[in-house]
Amino acid sequence: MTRRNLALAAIVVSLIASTAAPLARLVRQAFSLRKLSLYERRVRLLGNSYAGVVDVLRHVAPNEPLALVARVNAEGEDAVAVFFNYYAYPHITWTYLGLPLYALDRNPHRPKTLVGFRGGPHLTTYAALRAESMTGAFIDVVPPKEARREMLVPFVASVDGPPPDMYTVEALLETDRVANVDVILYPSGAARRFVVHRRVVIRDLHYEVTRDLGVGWARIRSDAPLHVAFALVNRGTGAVTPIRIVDSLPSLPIRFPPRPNAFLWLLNVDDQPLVVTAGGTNARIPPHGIIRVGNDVEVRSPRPLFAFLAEKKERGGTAFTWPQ
Amino acid sequence: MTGLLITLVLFPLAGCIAGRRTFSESFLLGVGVVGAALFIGGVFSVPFVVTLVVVMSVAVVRFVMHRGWSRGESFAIAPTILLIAPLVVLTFIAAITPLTDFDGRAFWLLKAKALAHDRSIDGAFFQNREVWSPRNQYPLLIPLDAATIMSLAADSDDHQVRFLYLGIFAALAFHLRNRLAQLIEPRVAAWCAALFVWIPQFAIGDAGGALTAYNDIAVAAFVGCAFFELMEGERPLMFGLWLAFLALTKSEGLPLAIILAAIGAFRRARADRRRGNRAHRVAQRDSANG
Repeated sequence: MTRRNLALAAIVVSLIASTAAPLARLVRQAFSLRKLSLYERRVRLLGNSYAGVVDVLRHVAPNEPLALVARVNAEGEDAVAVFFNYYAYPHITWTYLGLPLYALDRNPHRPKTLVGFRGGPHLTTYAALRAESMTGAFIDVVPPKEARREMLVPFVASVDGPPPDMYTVEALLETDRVANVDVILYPSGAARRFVVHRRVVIRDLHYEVTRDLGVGWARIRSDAPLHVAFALVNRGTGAVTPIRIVDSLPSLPIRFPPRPNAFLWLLNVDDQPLVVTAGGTNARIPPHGIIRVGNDVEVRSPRPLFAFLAEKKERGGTAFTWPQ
Repeated sequence: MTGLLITLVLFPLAGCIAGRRTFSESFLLGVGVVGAALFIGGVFSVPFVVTLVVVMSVAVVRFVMHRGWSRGESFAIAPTILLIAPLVVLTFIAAITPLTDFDGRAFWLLKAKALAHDRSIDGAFFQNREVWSPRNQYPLLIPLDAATIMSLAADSDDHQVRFLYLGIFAALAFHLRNRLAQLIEPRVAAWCAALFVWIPQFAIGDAGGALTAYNDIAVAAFVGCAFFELMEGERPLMFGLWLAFLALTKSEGLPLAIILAAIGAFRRARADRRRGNRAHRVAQRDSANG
């Protein structure tokens, strides 16, 4: 064998050796897939990222535009959104890299049906994605030593302000044993039981009870004594404002010190409508309702109710003024 | 299999528009001609179907006039087997295994689907009115080829176009063998081509290999074709065509095309100068002789 042939043989063998093994693996894979349908082959190779696309498309009308909302800090989620785009085409999709971009999109044609990508593409809601986006708790208050079995929480909100303001009400519940805690959120009337094993922090009480955004108040009952604390948290800025726990309604009339920049909130805890006089004008509060009026300092009512002032402060904070 | 059949008929036929050539060169030429014609027609809002009918009509006439494709050289059996074996295996894999690469699905074939759906190179998709079009600025030659296959197959699923990318790879290997055989000896050319198809980055690379829908092998093919024309220096029109296909295939193709064009221009200027000097010397000698 000449030197030239030896060199050629060495190149041939080295190239074949480096390609043959992966090629053989691909052939084995192809053999294992050959009896499956195209859908099954893709699911085998691509997993949830493909099965989810087909599942989502099966549950929406062909002309229903979809908002694909991928989390920015979740590795690979943007790629799954891109491939959703690919497999779903020509289904109309709008891709948002991050929930804030969806929230900020004021286009009137913005899709109302959302697709999330945590654990694979799935139909979801803005509120659910917002809840998914939350990590950690901000509440830093020490619960009072006084234990309660029943209470009202006068303000439970899950709302977005101008970015980065994102408000939730966090609840800290502690007990010496296992407690079944029933929360009813008004005015919707949505209810949920939380089982507390010694201590739990609920990051977004309103969403956890209603599965939606909104503003309300809560009636809480527990079968064991609870040490509790609640706070309005602006997750965008980290501002935390404690919320007063209401054991009994204040005596009438309710008077507040003047706060020109504050809004007056009125709660009707009864199942009958209530007409109250605030600052000389009448306001009707629906059964179990909560309304916001001007910055009046005196509230007169034929029946007991709860009222408080809320004032927006710098850096996304809120100052509450509670009745004496 | 519809996609395979369309790929094996459409592009080699379309390549006959430039005259009688080998099947492999016709295939590569067809890939370039179909994509470029649809793109240029698209610029002037000519419907794809009209452009395709015109191109294919001329190509079929020329195919009949020239009585098919030319036969290349004959090569030794051992390197030929070594050349064909991985291509057969890759065809089997491409026929069964779904596409899983990133760029192919995220950018290139999404554009192909949009072209097949919108039937326009500036339709709603490219104006971001249908869905998000990532890398909207990418050239469209290969997506237009893929869209043609999808349209003819009446199926925009990517399994129809797997053989386009594999076909470009195979055609490049055979073309390399034929042209190298003219430049050097056939025996060496046969072994070079056989080795080429075993290069892992080309054969099985998961980011640009023959089993993906990336355009890198198409760029390599057009660069190779242009290079061979440059070496021969006899068909400037063909050289220009390959460079145009190169620029329309991938953004990186444009600088490569400019470099090759500069080399081509330099070679041509030098050849002209030499011819001029030779003619001048002959004229001087003739006048001296009286």
